[in-house]
Amino acid sequence: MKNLTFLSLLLVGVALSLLSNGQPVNTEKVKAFSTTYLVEDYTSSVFIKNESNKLFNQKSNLKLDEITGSGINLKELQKKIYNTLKTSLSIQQRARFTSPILLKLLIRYDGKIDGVGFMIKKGYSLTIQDIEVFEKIITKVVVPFKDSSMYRNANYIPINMPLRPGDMD
Amino acid sequence: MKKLLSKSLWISICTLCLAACTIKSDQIAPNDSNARIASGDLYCSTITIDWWSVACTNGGETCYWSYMYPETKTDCSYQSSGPITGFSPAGVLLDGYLVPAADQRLQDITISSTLNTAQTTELREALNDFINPCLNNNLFSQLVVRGKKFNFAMGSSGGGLGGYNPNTNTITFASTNNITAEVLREELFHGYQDIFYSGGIAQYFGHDGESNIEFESKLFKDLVNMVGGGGMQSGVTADHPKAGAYTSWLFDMTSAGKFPTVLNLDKYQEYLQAFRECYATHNEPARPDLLPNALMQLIKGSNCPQN
Repeated sequence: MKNLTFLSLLLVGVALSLLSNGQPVNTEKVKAFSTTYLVEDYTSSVFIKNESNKLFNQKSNLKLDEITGSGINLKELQKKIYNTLKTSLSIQQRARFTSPILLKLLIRYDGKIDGVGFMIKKGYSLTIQDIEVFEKIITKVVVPFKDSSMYRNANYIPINMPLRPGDMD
Repeated sequence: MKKLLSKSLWISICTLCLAACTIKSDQIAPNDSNARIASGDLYCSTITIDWWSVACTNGGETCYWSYMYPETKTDCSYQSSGPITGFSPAGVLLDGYLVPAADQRLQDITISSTLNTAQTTELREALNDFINPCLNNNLFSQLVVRGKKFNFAMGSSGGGLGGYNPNTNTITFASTNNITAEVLREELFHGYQDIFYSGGIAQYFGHDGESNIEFESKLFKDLVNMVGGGGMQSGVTADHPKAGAYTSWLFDMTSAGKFPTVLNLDKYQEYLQAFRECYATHNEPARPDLLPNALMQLIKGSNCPQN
């Protein structure tokens, strides 16, 4: 019986180590004000996403010849996000925004941001409540397109966008 | 005016020749190093670069070069065998390299073009957009200094938005909508790889190593996006199970807004394999000895912020 238990544990251990190859080692749920977030643990950073946003579980249906950010005015989008954050964050929240964040934006064909994930370094001063505030602010931004037709059939457009506190001023 | 500019370029080329003469060839230093991450010996080459400054007037039309100082640089690479090959010091960016005025940029890299007037206007604008990010600026400089030129045409690009044929030096665009800075970034990088790697890149297409060449260009794009204003991840695409880990790797390397000067080669190989799974058209076996030296040299030879 003891051997069987040991064997089962060993198999589970092997399965977990296989699963963790290049994928988040573990995921935990964390509650903010009213939203629950899934926190995926990578080696030196974590990725935080809204648990109730099912779009994160859907694969992007973009074909290889559609993998381009050229249809979006990325400079303008980044500027809009900075400006919106600047006017919406409290002094305390801005003071905690001390290190870069990488946003993963899930953008709809009509320019709405349907989801936003946050990659941040471990040990960062931002709280999970701050993340909820950031999410609410950023999802209000309307994405400026140069040419949206190239994403006509996309279920969403995944864009990575770095935010650096020094660039917000 | 044009004569002066030509003279400046001629002087710069001459300088590069002199630099080439001063290589202390293939000094091998197989010692351990703090920067060493992956297996394989560390190979270093020492080169001497003559730095020039340039001052321009009339919007870059008239330029004067003056000699500043020589610099000795050691560049290292991890390869399974043999010294660094395929790159001469002539590829190192001259300090203060002159990027020509907007109207002249396209001319500087063009052999011929079958694009119509509207498409040519798009291409000129795309090239001007392309020039802005720091590393792209260095890429463009490398092409011009090395005399790399292209034919531009519309046409099928093997299922992509654009393509580069190393046998004909032709960059093609699938449609007018695809004449963008982002497409140019990848295709011009292929052109740069073509002059960087010994024997060019045509030897890899359809053979082992094609995935190395393609992944290096995607990584270049992704790094520029991460340091700059963002973009769609193309090295390991969003639908792959390792997409998040790849993003985390990119973020670790660039979060300070700087380019990495050292790559974790274990990670590089891991994501190269993931890339092959993403792109059925580029899934020929990877070559473990074909490292992303073109990219690393482009970063190290630039004036862009570096970690």
